[in-house]
Order: sequence, then C-alpha cells, then structure tokens
Amino acid sequence: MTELLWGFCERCELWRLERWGAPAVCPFCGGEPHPIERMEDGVARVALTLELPPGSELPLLS
Amino acid sequence: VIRNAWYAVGLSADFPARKLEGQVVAGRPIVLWRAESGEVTALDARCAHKRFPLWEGKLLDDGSLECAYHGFAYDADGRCVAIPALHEASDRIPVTARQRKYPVVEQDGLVWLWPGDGEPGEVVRTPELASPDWETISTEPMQVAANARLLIENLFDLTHFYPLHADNIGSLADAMVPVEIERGDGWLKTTRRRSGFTMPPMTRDRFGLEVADQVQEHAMVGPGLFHVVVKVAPPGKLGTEEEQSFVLYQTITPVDHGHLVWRRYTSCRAGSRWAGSPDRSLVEAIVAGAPKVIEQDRWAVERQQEMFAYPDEGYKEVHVKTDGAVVMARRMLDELEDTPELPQVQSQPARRAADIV
Repeated sequence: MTELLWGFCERCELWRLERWGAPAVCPFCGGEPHPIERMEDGVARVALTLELPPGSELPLLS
Repeated sequence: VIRNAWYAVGLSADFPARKLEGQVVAGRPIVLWRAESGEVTALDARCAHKRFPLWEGKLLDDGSLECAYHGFAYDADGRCVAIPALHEASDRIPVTARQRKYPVVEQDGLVWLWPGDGEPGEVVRTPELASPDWETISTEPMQVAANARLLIENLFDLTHFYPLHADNIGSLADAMVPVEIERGDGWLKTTRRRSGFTMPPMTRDRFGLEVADQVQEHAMVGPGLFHVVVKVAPPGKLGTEEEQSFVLYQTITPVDHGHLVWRRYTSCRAGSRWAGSPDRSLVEAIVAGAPKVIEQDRWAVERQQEMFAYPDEGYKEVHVKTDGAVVMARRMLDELEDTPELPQVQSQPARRAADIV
C-alpha cells in the first residue's frame, strides 16, 4: 500500500490519488478534499456520508 | 485487457472426461479438456502446424488431441505425439511442434485459467461453492459485448439502481445511501449499512421481514472475481441466528477489448427458506429476481461499449463524489493492464463435445 490517498476535490470536480499533505490540500487547485481516505492497519478507508430517507427501498442485487 | 490474472472458465462439472471446450480468454484462443490424469488441461488452440483451431479436433483413445486438419496429435502437456504424414521410419516429429500449455487451477468447484506470461499468483478461495453447508445456484455463462471494465464499474456503482433498475430493485433513494470504501493490495470493497428500514415488497417476500437491518458488501478481489455478501436481520439482530444472508460470486472473463463472459454463482446457507414460498429455498428466491436486473445491466454496458467506437474529440467523463469506488477500480485495473492491443472477436467458439474414435 502506498502513501497515496484518494480524495475528492470539489473544486477540480475529480477524485484524485495524491500525497495531500497536512492539512490536506489539492496540489492542483489548493482546494480542500472532501472526503479523503484514512489509513488504518494497511487498509485505506473513506466514507461517503449520505443519507437514506426512512422507508426507502432496499436494493439487493447489483 | 489484463492477462496476468486468474479467470474462471467454468465449473468443474463443465469439464467431464473426454469433452473438448474452446474458449477465448484475454485474446488467447484456448482448447480445454479433462485429461486422463483427471486434471483440466489448457493448450493454445492454434495448431502449431497450420493454425487450425484444435477445438474443432477430437480426442483419441490414447488421450491425445488430434487436429481436424492434418491430424497432428498433442498430449495433455502440449507435445506433438503423432503426425500422420510422417510415416517413414526415419521421420521424426519436430521438437518445435508443441502447443503452449496454460496454468489451470481447479478449486472450490471452479476451474481457473491464467492466460498471462507472468508468474501465476494464488487463486482466491470461493468456499461456499464447494461446501455442503451452502446451497448454490449457478447461472449459464452470459456473453456480453462490452469491455470487462465496464461490467466491473457497473457492479461497483450502486447509484445506477435509479433509473436503470427502477422497475424492479431500484429507487431514487439508492443514490443517497451511505457507502464506505476500503482498499488494500489487489482488492477494493464497498459496504453499505442500513438500520431499521422498511423493506420493499420483493425483499419482504424473500426474507419475511417488514423492517430490517442490512449490510451489503461488494468487493473486487482481482480483475476476474467480484464478491457480494448481503446480510439481513430484524433490527438489532445482525450477527445472531436470526440473520439471513446470501453470497454472490461473479466471475468476469475478458474475451477481448469488447467482449466478456459473465458467470454468477449465488449461495445461501443450506436449509434457508424463501419466506414467501416456504416450500422453496432462499437461494431460489434470490436467483428468481435476478434475470431482469442482469439483462438491464448487460443492456447498459453494451450501449456504453458502442459509444467507444467514436473518437473522444474533447469528450471527457465527469466524476461525481459517489463515483469514488468506480474511479478507484479504474486505477487498480490500469496498473494491472498488460495488453493494450488485441483484435476483437465477435463471439466465443461454440462448445463442442468431442467424438471418441
């Protein structure tokens, strides 16, 4: 696993795999990525925290 | 096309003794059969003599494969063992008359082939498919006129449930579900968790629950295997005996840049019942709802593939935040890509049952 992390730069409108630095800054536009991955035990994780309205339908198969 | 990968070529049962099978995998024409040793063998299907397809040949009594054109015969290791035209005592079989042999692994009821030039790695286990504790239904291989990447992207992209699957399993709300994306060396996984939601009619019929908690995991564990796990339980009961689940292995075998073969194996724990039809199994319920969804996905990726016939000329795809897993999958596949140029073939060769002489 590399130190490169995926982050979504809203200003560039792109998912980018970068060394973002701390605090994280897009190397292309200077914008702040959101969301951005975090490393835990060799696994990169990112959560897209969107909301499902109560009572919505359940998809089962892709 | 990625050649240095394991790709499924069928179930063990698809390879009975003395039956020839022809397939194109990652641009390589391959003839397969279960040899006298019991192992599945895979050779370059182009006869070393005149390129004639060996899947048109037949298996001889001694177990060798005879080309239907000039009768060159090859053993399970690809060595030429007979050339009818060379009948003088002084004649000898050229040492260069040899077919390339491809690595094959038969594991958990599936047969995997490595079409690449690199060193084969480990084959991912699919334990449910071979376990008596699980009941599995396999669907017929589906030929799809699209690049394998488009199907992988489709499988990761649950935001297409509306509108593509709006008449069966999808809804507008599906584009708004929280997703966690995880990635490690050679794998990528999305997880969606929901608590206390009202189940739609089809799902209620399957699991017999009005309100449920659910965990849904989609994982690419190599370019040729996609693994789905869905767990459903009454609120607060995930991980208990009240949890119901199914496992779906989807194998994606590229034929060339514009074609793939899609195989699906669905498993539920043995004894799990279809809530709406208790005399039938839960795995039957899961599979019964799939054909229309699958056909819609095929329709979508084939229409996408057609658009690649036109030059980009300034066209550029837009990313949105929810495309995260798709973008990550693309990057992983880019790094594995090893064969940029391949001719396209229109379809897989027909399966053939070899005559025994």
